[in-house]
Amino acid sequence: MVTDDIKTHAEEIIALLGEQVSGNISAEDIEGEITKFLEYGVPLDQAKQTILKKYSGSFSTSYPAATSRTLLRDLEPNMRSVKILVQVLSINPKEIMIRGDPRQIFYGILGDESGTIPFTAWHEIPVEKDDIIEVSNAYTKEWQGNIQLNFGDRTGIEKKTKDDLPKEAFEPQLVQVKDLHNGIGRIDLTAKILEITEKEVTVDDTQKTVYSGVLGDETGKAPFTAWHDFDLKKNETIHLIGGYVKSWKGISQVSFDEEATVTKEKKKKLTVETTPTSLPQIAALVEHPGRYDVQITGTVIEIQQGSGFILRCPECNRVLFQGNCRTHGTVEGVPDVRVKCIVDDGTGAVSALLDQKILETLFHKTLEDWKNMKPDEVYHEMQQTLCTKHLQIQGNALADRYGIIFIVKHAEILTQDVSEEAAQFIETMEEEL
Amino acid sequence: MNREHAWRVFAEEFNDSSVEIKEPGEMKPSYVLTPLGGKMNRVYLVGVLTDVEEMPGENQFVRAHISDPTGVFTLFSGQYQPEVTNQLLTIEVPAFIALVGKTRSYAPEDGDRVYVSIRPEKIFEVAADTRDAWILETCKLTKQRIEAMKEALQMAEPSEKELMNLGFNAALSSGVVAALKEYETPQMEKYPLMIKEAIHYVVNGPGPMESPKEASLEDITEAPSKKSTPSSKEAKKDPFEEAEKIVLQVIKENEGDEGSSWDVITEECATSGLDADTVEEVLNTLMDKGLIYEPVLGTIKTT
Repeated sequence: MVTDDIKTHAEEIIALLGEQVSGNISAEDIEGEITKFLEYGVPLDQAKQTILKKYSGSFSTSYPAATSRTLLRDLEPNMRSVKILVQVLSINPKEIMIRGDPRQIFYGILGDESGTIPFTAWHEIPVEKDDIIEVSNAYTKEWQGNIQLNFGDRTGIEKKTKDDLPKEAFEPQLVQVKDLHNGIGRIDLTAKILEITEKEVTVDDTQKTVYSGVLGDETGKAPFTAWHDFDLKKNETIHLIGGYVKSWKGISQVSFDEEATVTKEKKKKLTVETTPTSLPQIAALVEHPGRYDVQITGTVIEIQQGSGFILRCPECNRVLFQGNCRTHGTVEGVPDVRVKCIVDDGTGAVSALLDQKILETLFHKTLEDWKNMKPDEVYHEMQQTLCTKHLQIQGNALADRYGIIFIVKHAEILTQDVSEEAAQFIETMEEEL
Repeated sequence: MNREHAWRVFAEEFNDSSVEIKEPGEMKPSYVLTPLGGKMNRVYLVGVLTDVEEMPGENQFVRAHISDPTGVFTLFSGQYQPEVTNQLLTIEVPAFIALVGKTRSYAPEDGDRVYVSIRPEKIFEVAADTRDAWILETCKLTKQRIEAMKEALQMAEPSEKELMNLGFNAALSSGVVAALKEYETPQMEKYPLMIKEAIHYVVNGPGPMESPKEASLEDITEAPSKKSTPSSKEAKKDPFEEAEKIVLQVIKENEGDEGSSWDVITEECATSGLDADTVEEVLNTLMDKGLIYEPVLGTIKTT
């Protein structure tokens, strides 16, 4: 292409970028970039668009900044520029590696009168927990089915006061377990502690005891984590004000710390719904992955790699590869058995994880029996027993990068009276079709 | 990225498909779109493996057929699935087979037809009850597609969202909307009949149901069954059903271990008043139902 033509195109780009930019970028720079793209065989139109996008992105010319406030509830994925007025409910630093370099980013939860949202700031921001801030030019993305708010280079933050947010923003919402979902905001919940365990964790280099378990009411069960010792005991009914909901692999969890109020309800009798939610079709999980304590039925159509007799690292529980642990090197492996299989009902599929206890019940065998079998024999037996069978599984469904992982707590191979069911099907069909 | 789930579909609906959907971009899955809106990348099916044939060429490549109550699936398996290919070559046909596989479509340049087939990923030898359970399940899921299609046909502008509001899942809703765009008019009479036939197969065992579909069989009506056959005692039996029973009986009497030759069957049936065309049509129907197969060209055997 003639140099003059490239010059014309460069000027066109400069003009499109507007005055603000033309002072910083020379037409020569742009000409150079166009030439380079053309050398690589990029079509002219595409090259121009790419360059335009590159510069307009960092100078915010092509996407005008939003001027009016959006409520968190109304945020949608892939919004380019949003303005919000929120309280910082939590903020934590995190070290990540970007192209081999360590970088500190910040993540946390923001809340307003309509709900809460998780956020990530890619740079240090002058913000502390509980601050009321007005954020402009933030943008949204979708991550594992949840909307995620991001603060980038062009994001502006202005401190505000409590009076700027309506007072409902600070009032917890009265909810039941079934209402818990990501972004619901601060909650007011009465529930019974069904399970509780203590765990030592390291947060910001300090040891901390957290209390995690399962709570429930007449509408269902959910996992919880308490970051403060409320002296919680199993079977106690508590009234929790000021906790919030966090999502882990799509599962809603109740999280609360010392700022929440926990009252023990000694007299209140709460009946807890303990039967798992039965999903008629796996499709329900495809559309809403991440469910706590659900039951599904499907056909086992594949036993996946990594199933069978395995050895685990005694330190970290990871599965050994040729006698070696990724972190702890050569170790004396702890024997275990597991099955990873695809359960598919024609509307959706999950990768189901069956552990030793479940397999012993399903196969009427012990770990010792499997230990003495050849790996091929074990695989063959698992395939023979499970594949093409209808398996009813109960447990937790997790939204994973590679699909839905189903952690099985209980499994049963169903026997079907096909001719009876077929007769029933004929009846419904006569009526409907 | 979610795993593509395995659709349940009968051979008739699958083979009626003439549309392939490929999402733009590399490494994106392709789908066979059925007339009822199944957008299928993977299928799970159970049927009778009737024949496996090694194709000529340097690389090992086999073609096989699996029959269900409504028709026949065609499979191609080659060097990239050595395990399945070997399995297919060692299984003695006929055999009940469960199969997980990827859908494939092929449109020859000089034709206007699209051929659909299946590349098996896993196969398992199973028993008859697994096949019956699959027929039942496939009936139920096919019925769901029929219902979704019926609802969509009543909408002024069929949309995924509206279908999902009615309770249909996302995959089916998007498939139904796509099918309405790609296929001229879905044959809404044909598929309910197909599942009725299939489910009767489970309840009554192999054999034609009492009210078979109105195929073009007027000429059969004229075929008098002069000879008394085991099942002709009941007065008002459908003539085609009669013909099927006669032909099946003839094959059983003549097949031995090797199967019965087509000519022998035609001759024998002529004595029962069935002309050659009728016999051929009946043989095709019986093959579709999986009751008979053709181990060698021109030779028929019951399954």
